[in-house]
Amino acid sequence: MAGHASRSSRFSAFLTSFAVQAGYNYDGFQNLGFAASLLPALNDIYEDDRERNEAFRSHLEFFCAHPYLATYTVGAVIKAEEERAASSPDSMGDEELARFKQASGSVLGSLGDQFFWAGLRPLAAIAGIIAFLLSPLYGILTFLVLYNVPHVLARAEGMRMGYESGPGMLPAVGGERGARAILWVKRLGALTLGILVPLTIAHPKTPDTVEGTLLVAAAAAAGWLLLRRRARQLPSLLSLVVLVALYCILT
Amino acid sequence: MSAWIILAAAGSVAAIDTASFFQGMFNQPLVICTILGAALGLPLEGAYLGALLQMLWLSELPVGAAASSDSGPASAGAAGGALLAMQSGLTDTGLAGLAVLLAAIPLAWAGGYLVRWQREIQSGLFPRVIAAVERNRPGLVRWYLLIGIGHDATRGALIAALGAAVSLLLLQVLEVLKLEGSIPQYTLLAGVLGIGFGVTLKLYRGPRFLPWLIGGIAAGALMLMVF
Repeated sequence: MAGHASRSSRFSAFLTSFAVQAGYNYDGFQNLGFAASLLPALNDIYEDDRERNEAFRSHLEFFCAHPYLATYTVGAVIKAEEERAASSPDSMGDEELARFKQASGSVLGSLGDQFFWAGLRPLAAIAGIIAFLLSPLYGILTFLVLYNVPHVLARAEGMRMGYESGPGMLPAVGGERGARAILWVKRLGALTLGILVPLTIAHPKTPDTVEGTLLVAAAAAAGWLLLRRRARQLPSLLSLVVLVALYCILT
Repeated sequence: MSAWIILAAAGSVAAIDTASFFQGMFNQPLVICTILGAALGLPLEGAYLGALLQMLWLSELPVGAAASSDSGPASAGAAGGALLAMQSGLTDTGLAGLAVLLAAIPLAWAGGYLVRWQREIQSGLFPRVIAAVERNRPGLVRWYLLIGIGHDATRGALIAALGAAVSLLLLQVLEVLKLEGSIPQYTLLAGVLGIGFGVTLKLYRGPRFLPWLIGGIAAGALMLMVF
């Protein structure tokens, strides 16, 4: 007997997807969190335990996507499982579904890394520091709100769109729209970083403007030059901090 | 509740938020240090220490299997040590800032290795989940996710406790060197934010972003003139 994933089981899958990276390991990456997210829906779809266990086991294979956007794949796989359980003529075979999961992991991984890690996170953090300089306790609020509203909305939209469109959602997510969003969030990040520069230099408690400008410019140039290569980050960062401290002590 | 328990809890929250659950940026230095400062009764000092550390790791991207620096628990621990010293009478925030920087940077780097080790250990969870499915108990997978979260919480608490100890020790050394009063806190902040600009510029390389960066500098200058 086959069924549909109820609204409550999809909501439960959505909540479990917040822990998609718990149990992250080098063999299957996010496989445990991904399979756990599907389980509430699989319990609804398959009344026969053996069938449910087979479906569950097939989703314990390697899976890796951006953790926020993994909900697109969770939603789409729930839809695909409903079709498979109903033996719909359009339903995907095991290999096709595995290929879809792999492809969606790559597309969503790249999109999420660029948009969230390289775009929204620095934008929200820099805005948080600007707010801190203007009024210290607003820093945390600015950072959390600016980051988490789009973050949680993206997770929820992923679940909705993934379930409604099924595996067909992939081209719509990874296309032109995604590239435009990445470009804009990075542009805004660059703008915010620019705004932070004069606010740091002319902060009422920093040294006078000329001295402050020289200090910030020299530290920025050194940071840029020394930290381009990640391998040398620890000694470079430490030595730069020591240099700034020495400057503070000597002036 | 003991301050050390609060500190270990902050480290755990930061570590869990880094990967296992939610990832709502509660692991970021500005956020976790402000929360820790508020819990210890020193919110402004906590926010300052967090701002000091915030930009140092912004350009590190936790992409794919890469385990980047474990900056959240390390920041919470190092800042926690300094905040404990402030609770006991230390008034030099600049000196506290320097100790926090010197403690947090190596610990965050070392924490990255612990994360990799933890992920290798967690590969052992996979066969156990398969065995649970064979016993018709796939629901146990949620239990194994909780074990993963528990690993993170333990790692975070350990790094935070170590960070606090190192930071307290460094403060003692800096006091012996008679550096009290010689590090103005906002000069240190300007210098470290400067390093942060340099590091973060890595994300905005190329002519596509240059006009936006320059536009931002002009907008910031205009804001200063107007307000």
